[in-house]
Amino acid sequence: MPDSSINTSFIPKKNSGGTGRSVGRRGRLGWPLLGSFLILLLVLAGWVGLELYTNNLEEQIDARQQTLAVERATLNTRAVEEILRADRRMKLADAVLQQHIAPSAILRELEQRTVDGLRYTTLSYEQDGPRADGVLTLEGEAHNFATVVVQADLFKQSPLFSGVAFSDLNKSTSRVSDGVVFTAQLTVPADAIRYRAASPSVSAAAESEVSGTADIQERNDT
Amino acid sequence: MKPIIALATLIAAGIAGYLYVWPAYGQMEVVAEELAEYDRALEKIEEFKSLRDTYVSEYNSLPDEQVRRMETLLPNETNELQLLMNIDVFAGEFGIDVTEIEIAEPPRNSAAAEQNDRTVKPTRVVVRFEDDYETLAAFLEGLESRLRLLDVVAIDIDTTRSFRGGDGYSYTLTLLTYALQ
Repeated sequence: MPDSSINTSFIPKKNSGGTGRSVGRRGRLGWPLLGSFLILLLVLAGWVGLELYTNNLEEQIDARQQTLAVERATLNTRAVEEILRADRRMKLADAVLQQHIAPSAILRELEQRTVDGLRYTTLSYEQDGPRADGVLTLEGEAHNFATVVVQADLFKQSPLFSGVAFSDLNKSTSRVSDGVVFTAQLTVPADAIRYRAASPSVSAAAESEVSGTADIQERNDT
Repeated sequence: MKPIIALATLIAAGIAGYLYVWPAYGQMEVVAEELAEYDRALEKIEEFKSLRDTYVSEYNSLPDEQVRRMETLLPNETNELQLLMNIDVFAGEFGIDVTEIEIAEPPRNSAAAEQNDRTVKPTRVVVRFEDDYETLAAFLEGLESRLRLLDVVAIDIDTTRSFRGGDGYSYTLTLLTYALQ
């Protein structure tokens, strides 16, 4: 049996325990390093991924731009403009029609409400647009003052006139008349001579011009 | 040495994240929002086309006659010369011999000028003639009921210049007609 205390080699043997401590230290330090590399890798991969995704989105935008250009080219805006103009015309025509006035009602009213023994020499009616009230100025001659008073009362009873005022009442200096002369000024509310109110049957026809069912008098107007 | 390398790697990852990944993410969000806007625009166009087709269909179903009459009622523009000729011809139908007809400037700041908040353009026409009263009344009613709207905003009757043996008088009518602005 050999003696274990005898050295078989002059080379000293290393203690295996020292080698074990060295491997353990390397293992503990390797995982954090690996982890940090992994994190860096993930960050770089994320960056590359984001760049690629953004590029993809930009390509999609280019495609959308082309689609949008094609869609715009085929929109046919001329037809749309024509429809919009027609729509605007219908609305405005209705508005203008609502404001349309028929001052012939004034003449009819004067025919009905003028007393015998009185005549008009001038008539002046003026309205500052169809929305504004009109002013009717009449100059005339009458047999006497009483006739003028009766005429004033008749005007005041008229639903067409308001603000009746007589002035310049004087004895006539005319050779052919020995009565009195006068000037009358009357206010005509615009709503009192609206075309629709003045002539319901015709105005209904005019109204239906918008709907296109009536047969109103038509001329070759521009 | 290895801990230093690991720490340096982590720091590098952080710097890369801050300098590259974060801005790239922001850029991606901007581009994604831009793409979403294009998508919304395309959706709007589709809606618009659908509405347009509906309205075109409705508009095309209107009788041509109605469209033409509407254009007569309120034309795109006033052909002044044609308008004067038409009024003259129309007066002739009543046996009226128009002595003067002209386009007048609308008074500034008048209610007529401001009508419909500048959405329609008024044109003022002055017509002068001499005839009997019955003809005037008939002509006036004729003007009021024309398809081309004519508002008679002023009437002047002067009986002091009578003619036709005292049966006829002198008249001045001021008319307003309209066109799209």
